[in-house]
Amino acid sequence: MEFREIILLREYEELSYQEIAVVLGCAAGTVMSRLGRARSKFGVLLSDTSQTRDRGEKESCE
Amino acid sequence: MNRCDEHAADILLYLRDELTGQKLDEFRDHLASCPDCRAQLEEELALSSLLRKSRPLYSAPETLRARVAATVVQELSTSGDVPDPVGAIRLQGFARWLSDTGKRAFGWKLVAATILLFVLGLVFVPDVAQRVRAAAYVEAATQTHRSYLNGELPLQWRSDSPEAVTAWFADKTPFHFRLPTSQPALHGAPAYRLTGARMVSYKGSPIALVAYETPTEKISLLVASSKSAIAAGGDKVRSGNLTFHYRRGASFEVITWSNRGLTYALVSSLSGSAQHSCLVCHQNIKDPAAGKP
Repeated sequence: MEFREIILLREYEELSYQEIAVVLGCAAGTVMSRLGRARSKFGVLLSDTSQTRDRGEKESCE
Repeated sequence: MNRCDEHAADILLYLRDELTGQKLDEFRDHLASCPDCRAQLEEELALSSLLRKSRPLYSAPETLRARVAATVVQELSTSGDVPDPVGAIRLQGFARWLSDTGKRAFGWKLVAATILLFVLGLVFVPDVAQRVRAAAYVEAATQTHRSYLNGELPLQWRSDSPEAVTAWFADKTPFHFRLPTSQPALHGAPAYRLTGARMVSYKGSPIALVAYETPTEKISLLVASSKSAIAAGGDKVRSGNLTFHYRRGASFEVITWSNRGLTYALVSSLSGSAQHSCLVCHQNIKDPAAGKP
């Protein structure tokens, strides 16, 4: 959940670190480290997904 | 773990043009000599681009849309500040409202729900979302101009020929644009002189910075695709099909407008009315006070 909201605010709403810190009520440093962890987790999830697709398993659209 | 872990945060800041001054210089120097960080930057750019491409398209019943819109507008107008056109939607106001409600003790679930309401508000109230995006572009333009003045963004191509600068951009920007070749004159003398150009990054995409100067002033013109930047808010001056959005900040004046799929931001320290500033390039603007509404 903490990852979802920070990705949402950063990438969908395109807020700055300072703005996210204000919205979430935490320090900008915390925002940065949390976003870093969120992005790397997301990157891993995405690469897993794309590898699954690359194996040619045609999945139905959700 | 690698020796570049300390630059992980810089990469994320650099992505969104949030690194400035000496830190930006140091990071650029490091980037030039570090293939690991360059690769990491590429990965982060790709991830951002993918995330933004997959922004969900919300749809909601009209009644819910209206309720959310009304709530956001009401909360903004009762948040305590007299709202200015841009400031009304600034997050600080919203955050103040968040804390003013005094309900933080209820914990993060309430905060999350409020953020969700805010996010839904942005999505459902196109005007608010537009103003947020427009304000972001204005802020980026101001920051770019400041960096250019400080020498942190040296021109990559120097020329006073509009044709040469247009040609230089041709294979660098993901969009087509052409600088005007005529040189408008103000009081008999050329109003400005083209000095050169460089590429800058905005929201992870390359955009064009065109530098002009008058005898006393340096002027920056940013050109971005209207997909990533929009013009809204501020004092509006209309000319034909164009609407110029004029803002006066603490140190600079910014005029934004959109035309044919591109959004422009002109930043200068020039003093004068919005109309005067626009007149530098668009001399057919009628005085709004004298013209028909």
